[in-house]
Amino acid sequence: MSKKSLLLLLILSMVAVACATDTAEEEVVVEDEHDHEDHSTLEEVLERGFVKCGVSGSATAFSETGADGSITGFDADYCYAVAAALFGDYSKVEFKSLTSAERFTSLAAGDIDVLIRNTTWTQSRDTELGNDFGPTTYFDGQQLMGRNSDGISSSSTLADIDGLSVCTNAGTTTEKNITEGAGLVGATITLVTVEKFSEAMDKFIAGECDIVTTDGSALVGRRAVNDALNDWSIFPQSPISKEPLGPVYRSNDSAWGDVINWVVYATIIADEYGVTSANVDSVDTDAFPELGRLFGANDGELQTVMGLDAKAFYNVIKQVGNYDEIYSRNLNPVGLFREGGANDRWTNGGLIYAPPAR
Amino acid sequence: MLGKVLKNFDIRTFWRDVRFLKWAGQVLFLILFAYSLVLFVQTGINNLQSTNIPFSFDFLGDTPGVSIAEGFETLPDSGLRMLHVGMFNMIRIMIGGIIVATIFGTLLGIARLSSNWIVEKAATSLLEVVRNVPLLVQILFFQAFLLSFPRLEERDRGEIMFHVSSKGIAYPWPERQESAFMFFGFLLLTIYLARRVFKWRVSLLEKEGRDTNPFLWSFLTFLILTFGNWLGGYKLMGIIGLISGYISTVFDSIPSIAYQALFSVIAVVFAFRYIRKQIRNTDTGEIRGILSDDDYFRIILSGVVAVFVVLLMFMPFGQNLTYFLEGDELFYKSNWGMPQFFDGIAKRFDFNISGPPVIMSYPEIVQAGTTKFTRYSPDLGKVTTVGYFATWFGVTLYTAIFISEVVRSGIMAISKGQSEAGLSLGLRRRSLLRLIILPQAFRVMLPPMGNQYLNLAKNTSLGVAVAYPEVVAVGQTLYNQEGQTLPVFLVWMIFYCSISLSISSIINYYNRKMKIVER
Amino acid sequence: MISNNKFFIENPYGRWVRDNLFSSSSSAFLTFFAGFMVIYSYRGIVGFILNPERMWTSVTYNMKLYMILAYPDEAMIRVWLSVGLALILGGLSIGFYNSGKSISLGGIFQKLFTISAVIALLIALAPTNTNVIQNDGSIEAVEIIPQDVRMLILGPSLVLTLAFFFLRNIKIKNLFNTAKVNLTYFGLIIGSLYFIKIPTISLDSSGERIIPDPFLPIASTTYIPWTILYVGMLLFFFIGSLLKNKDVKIMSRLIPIAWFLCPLFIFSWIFKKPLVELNTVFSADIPSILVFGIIGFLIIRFSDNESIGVYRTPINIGFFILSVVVFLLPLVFIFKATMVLLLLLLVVSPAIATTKEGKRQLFIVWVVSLFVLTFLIRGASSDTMLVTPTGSIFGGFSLTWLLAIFGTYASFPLGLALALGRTSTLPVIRIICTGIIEIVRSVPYITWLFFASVMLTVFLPAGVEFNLIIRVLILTAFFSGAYFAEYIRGGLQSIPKGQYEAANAIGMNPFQRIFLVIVPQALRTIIPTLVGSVITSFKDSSLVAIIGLFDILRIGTSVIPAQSQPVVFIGRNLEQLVFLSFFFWVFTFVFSRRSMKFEKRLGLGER
Repeated sequence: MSKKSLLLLLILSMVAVACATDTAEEEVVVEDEHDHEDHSTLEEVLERGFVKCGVSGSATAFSETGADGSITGFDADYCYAVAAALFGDYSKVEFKSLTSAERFTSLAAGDIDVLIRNTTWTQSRDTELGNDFGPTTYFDGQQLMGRNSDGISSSSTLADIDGLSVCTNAGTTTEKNITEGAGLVGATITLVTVEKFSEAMDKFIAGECDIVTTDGSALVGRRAVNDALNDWSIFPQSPISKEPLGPVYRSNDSAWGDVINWVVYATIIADEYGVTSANVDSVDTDAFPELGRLFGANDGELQTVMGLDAKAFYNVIKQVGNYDEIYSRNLNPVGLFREGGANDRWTNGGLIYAPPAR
Repeated sequence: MLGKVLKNFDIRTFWRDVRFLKWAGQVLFLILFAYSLVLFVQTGINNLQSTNIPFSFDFLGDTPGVSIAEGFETLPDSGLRMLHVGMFNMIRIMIGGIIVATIFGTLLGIARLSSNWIVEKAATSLLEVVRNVPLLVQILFFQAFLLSFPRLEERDRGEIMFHVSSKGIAYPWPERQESAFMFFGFLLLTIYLARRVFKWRVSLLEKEGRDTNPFLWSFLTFLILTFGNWLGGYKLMGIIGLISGYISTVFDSIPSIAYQALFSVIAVVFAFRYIRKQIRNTDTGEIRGILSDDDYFRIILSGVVAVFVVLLMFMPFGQNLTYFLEGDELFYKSNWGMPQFFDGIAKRFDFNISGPPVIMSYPEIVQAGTTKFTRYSPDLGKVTTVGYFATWFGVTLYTAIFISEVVRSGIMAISKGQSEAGLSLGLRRRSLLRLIILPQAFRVMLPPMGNQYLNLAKNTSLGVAVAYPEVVAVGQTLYNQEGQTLPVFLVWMIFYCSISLSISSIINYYNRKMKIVER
Repeated sequence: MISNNKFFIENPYGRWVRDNLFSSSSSAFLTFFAGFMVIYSYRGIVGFILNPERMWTSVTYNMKLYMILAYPDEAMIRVWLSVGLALILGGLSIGFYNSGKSISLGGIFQKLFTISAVIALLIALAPTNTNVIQNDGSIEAVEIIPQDVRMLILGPSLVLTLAFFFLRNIKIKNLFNTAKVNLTYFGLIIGSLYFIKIPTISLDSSGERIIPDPFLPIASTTYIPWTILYVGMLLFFFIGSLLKNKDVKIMSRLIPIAWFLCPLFIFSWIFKKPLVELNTVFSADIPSILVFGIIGFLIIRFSDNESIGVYRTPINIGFFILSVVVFLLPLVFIFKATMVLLLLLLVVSPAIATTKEGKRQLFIVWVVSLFVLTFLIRGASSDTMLVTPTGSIFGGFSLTWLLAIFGTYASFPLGLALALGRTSTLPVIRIICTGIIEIVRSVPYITWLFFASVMLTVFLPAGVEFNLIIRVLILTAFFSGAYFAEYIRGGLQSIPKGQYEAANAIGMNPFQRIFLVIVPQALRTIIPTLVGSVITSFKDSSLVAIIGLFDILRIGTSVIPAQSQPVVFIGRNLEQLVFLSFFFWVFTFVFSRRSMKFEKRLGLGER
């Protein structure tokens, strides 16, 4: 028996144990901290010093990962806004990129504090799965897209897709919606379900699928980028499903929920008054008392009661911007515009509306 | 026996007795293992109950409401049927893959030993490329490759022989007709008879020493019978249908409790016979006449298994099993069962069926729907979809590469003397390979080949990445709808275990058969 | 006919052509057929890559994302240190294990001749045009390699080919060490980073894209680190050569151990930047080292004491029970881990610590192991100080490595345990181990990954939450553990029965027999297979992309094709797939080739 083998043996076992450690020890995140009755997520987040925000990480214009690993987009901006409200510094966010299958487990387990990952507000998700939904930040709906050159137009209906092959992405309600919708009008379709929407688009562009279906926003976004010939039409006019997208947090945590809700409302109210990050410093708080209350005049009593800094919402607008800024910065480049749609101001006939700040 | 143990019992040396220590250790291990397993499962059940999705198999009977891209049914009305479609799709790829990968892999293996420089280099570079790139990347690449073909346009419409587009590959295919099952049944019978004739002529040759032309005889038998078969001889197979019809009625009329009782009795009888055999046959241990540890263990185990089976039979599992055997509607709307099975056979083997077994069918590009869309006609010819092609081609090529390595090392393992002997007998290179090298190499190659087939079967699960609805993809769709992740996983596990078991038992069967030839 | 031509009989090249390409009519047919296929696919590939529709900047611009996802910029030095450590160790081992093989100048020119001839041939065969599908569906040929560019490359390479052809017969006696020559080649590759230019995307200060995009040298931002690392590698190569010349024996043990520990050290300390609190070091680590050091010392000191002989079994059992108790108690993890090591020491010490020298060496090994173990565990179990926007410091290629290496490491002890269980004579243990191995092996890896991603959390007690990477590592350990077990079983069965009998004859107990006699020999026979399975783990790690981990494949197929800012890369996934295939291919190919050569040199796997 050589001593060399012995030495090797000892090292081997050591390696084994060290690995076991790496797997076991690193993650004994014992979750006593998530006793929701006693501790609010708000206290926990403030103590921690940054907010953990669940996003998609690969959804164009909503949350995409840049070349340097940073995350940008509409959803990501709302994460930044929450951080700005809590800490006065928008960069205090830790993103978690989640798949659609794991997002709710991740939230329930306390892996993330808030989920802003184009998530549809449904009854079962709100009740059964133990989540609460914040105000809707984007009103979406499932639509279909086809080619004009194939005889599709924006006035086509579901009955026109009889016998066609349709691509969609998995893990969401889209497969069920299209199956049900086609079944109602008696159309037989070949449904090709792929993992990610970008794959569905590849198949549509290549021609494996005649029609592609998912949330209207994604369709418009891709049409703006890829449709060089203006050949693609989105139909039917009114979406086949309602998909209100907004932030999600755990149930029974109203202090935390209020913070999220009012961050969203603050951006909407600022938009109503036309206050942007550029002119927020020069806003006349005396002329508009609601803005004064929101931005921390009169000691910012409304904010301090919530457990926030008096200047919390001022910071949101200053560092991230109002709803319109967030929207146009992220969604205009991919061809999604507010005018005339569901996401316009309520005064213009849209659905974006916030309760008053007083 | 027990008395002897008791007589030698001494409390002071008891704990140093090796036999005691061994068994105590094992029992301790078993208890620890069982305890941790129970703990694991218990935690799982508790956690599931606290979420709102308790563990249940009910989703197998619910309508999933999602249609799937391809398979024998695209809008299944129960979860079980949906999984069934997925399993069938997986098996389709597996069988096609195994056949092509074996042929291509063998050719490639021989090419790598070729004396032709460019052939050898080309084969080796193909091997080095395919072996060193992850299969998933390759499958994604083949999908992208097929998608890069032009789309189907209105101007393409019409009958075609062979066509590739981004919708897939269309080619002529012998379409199975009503009589196909009977025809192939008769064909199997024909092959069996031809073999019997061959053996009979060979034995005659050995006995009488004159040339009895065994090959000619058996070939003629085959030819004549197949000709008769084509002309309608397959109608004979209707007898099978007739019998199946009766069996179906019999299965239909047996009450469910009979099955439960029958299985229990079978389990007990088997266990009893096994134990008796072990006790009688005590020479497996190191010392004759005394039961070894292993024997004791086998006896105890078979007893436990028998009791377990009996218990299982009278629990919900047993009831479900009888639903299956009875073909009850309650078995998750599947309409599966023994009566249905035999009924199906009876329908396919009927005296009244006539006509040719297969008809060549040519693909056609037709209009789809009411607009300018075009597609391959689903009823004519054969259409391979993009997902199927990418998965099948990916796993086949990948496995073929590994099979070529198996073939190469198998051939190299045959000693050089064998080929020299063959050459000195005046065999040509090709006959040498066919008659001397390959049969011997086959024996060496079989076990690793079986491993490659198993890998192929498992690798088909990567179809999930290219939207091919095999069993994993379909299961994923199901649990996305119903939230029942764990039951779906159990179905996957049972399915893959049985696939693995069947492949390895086939390989083992051939392995044993080859071994007998060895002297 | 070809065989009658004088050229094909007398000229050596002619004879080679006749024998290897046209030995028979079928061979000639095969030659033309295979040649056609090869050229056709080569032209297809080149046409595909140079097609103006491809946007290769989507690959080059995202290279950092591919490698390290969102690792913070200010800590980049740690990434370079990690790479550097591996390179330095590589240099050291090349120097130390230098076989002393040499190559003559003529041999070098022969190689260069082959390379330049192949390049010239490839350039000559490259297609001029490629087909582009227009928007209206028609297909148009586009020129990709203009004639003047082709000539510009073809001319010099032909000249070089000719020059090398004549130079290779040069009669110079000077011999060059192969290792040094190879290092020079590597240096040339590093040097080429300064010259070879590729298209990139450049942004101005406000983040707007500047068009037209410039051509910049490959790795325009990284050639300085690469150069430094290369110099370090050279330095350690010479140190290694020096040690070899001085005949320092201990290095032949230290280098493999260093290779073994290097990834652990990199991942637990260098790459991670752990937040180590001094009071835990004082309250847990140092006491643990002291306590176990003393216990180890006592065990070694008294292991051959005759008066203890009778009580050996009770002592062993006592220690075993103690370790189980320690495992169940809520103690610091370091105690539990070291306890396992202590059990091993207990088993081996009676066989080793028989002489004074043996005791001394064993004690040194024990103390060093204690320190290294504590050090690694402290690093691994501490939180990281790095803050990344994505929450995990592992992503992209670093995640691929993490999965491949830890998958292998963690599965090794598990595989060994399962293999020992399966070959055991105890029926209960054998059946359980066989069952586990067979069930785990017969279900595909991807289903286990789905289990890790959506089902494993269900089975964990309330309050314990692993993140996805850890869950995947656990399942990977099980999966490759089951595969390892089968390899190891093969190794165990190859041990002749005489070894068992000999071990029994000198009075070893079963543990000693297994750990001192059987396992070391079995491991030696299966090392080639193990290297193969590291490569398999490396390839298999790409499957985690399906369950949503941001490994290199998912970045390529899902993250980059979704980027719309600052440059639109939406839908660019063909480029990524080609790049990934090439990338994986280079790594696995080089790795398998190197390991094969290394195995031969060490004489591993041969008995």
